[in-house]
Amino acid sequence: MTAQTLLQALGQLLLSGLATLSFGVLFAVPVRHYACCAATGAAGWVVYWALTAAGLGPALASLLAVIPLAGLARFFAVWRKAPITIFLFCGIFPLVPGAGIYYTAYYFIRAENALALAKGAETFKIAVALALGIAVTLSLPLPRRHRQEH
Amino acid sequence: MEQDQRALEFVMEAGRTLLENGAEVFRVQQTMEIMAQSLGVQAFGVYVLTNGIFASAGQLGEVRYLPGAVVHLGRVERLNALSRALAKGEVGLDEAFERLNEIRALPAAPPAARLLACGVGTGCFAVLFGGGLAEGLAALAIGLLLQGMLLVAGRAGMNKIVTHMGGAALVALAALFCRALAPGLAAGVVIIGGLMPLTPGIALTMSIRDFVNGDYLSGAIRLLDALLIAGFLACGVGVVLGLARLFAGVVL
Repeated sequence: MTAQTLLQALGQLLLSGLATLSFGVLFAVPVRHYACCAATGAAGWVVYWALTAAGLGPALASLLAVIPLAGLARFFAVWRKAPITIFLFCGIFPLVPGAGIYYTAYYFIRAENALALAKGAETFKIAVALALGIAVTLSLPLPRRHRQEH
Repeated sequence: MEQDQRALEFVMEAGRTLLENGAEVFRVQQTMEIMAQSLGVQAFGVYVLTNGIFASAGQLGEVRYLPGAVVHLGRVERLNALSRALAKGEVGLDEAFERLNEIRALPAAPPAARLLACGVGTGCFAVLFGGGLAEGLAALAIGLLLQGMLLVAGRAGMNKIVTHMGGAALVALAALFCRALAPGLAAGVVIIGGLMPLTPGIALTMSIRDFVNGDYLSGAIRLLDALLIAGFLACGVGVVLGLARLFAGVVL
């Protein structure tokens, strides 16, 4: 890994953390959870960014990125004694296919049906990948002494 | 009987508050069941949907309809803490009602903070989606503008169609304006960055989560909502870009 890619990764980390934090403010996250929300979002995005840069498709990259993201959200929920929804909701914001579903609708109304179908399929796969990744990560059993998270 | 009625009403209102502020369907269901048990409600049954709650306790029954949700995660957290305190027997019903009202009165972030947050968020996304510094700054300005419009629309009680279509049209118009000022600006990236606060990405993902959990009806409601909103956004942008092509010959 060259210094330039490292610098790029750092930039992505900071930007995605800042973006997550911004949407956390809009979602009225309590101030004391700001740092954890930003960290959750940045972790997920950087993994996604690195994997797609390495040539992986967006759906598989989303699946592989949401697993550490949800794990981190779970850890923060236990550590900060807060509902996991807070960290998960903000943290997945950079990964959710909001742009994809918009482009699908946009190509659809422009009558570019082939593009709309391709974008729609990709968007759907990403959403399923994220939902499955979250479901699997959250249903892994925890050691007994950590069990009062929700 | 009267005690049961009040307890059921509390559980309903608590569930409604959770759902209205962004908690997941299955979690609302779970929390309501736990609260009912803590308060000793007899023969409690509850069915939660994305936009409604049905519950009964013996012969008592209550229904709530929730047409829309505005995410406020601070309230979700406080209500969770209240549910935990109830389970431990630390608070009685009267105090619980009082704390519920306090939670409901929790304000959102102040307008200035939301303006700034929206601008920074849209700016960051424009860069994350492949834009440069110029695109980021343009999206930042557009985010400020958009949140300003959303604040006004919220105060005026405008509906979902107007806010989403109008917001998207505003974003597209502002992006065209920025490109007129700075030719060579990647307007597509600026538009999608600026649209991020309106896009239903979370709704779509939550919808699939509902399906995975077996809450098919809730998932379907959220999915339709997401598709509808994406359609509104596309129409808003499409109209502006179409007119720009027709009258000004601008092609993106």
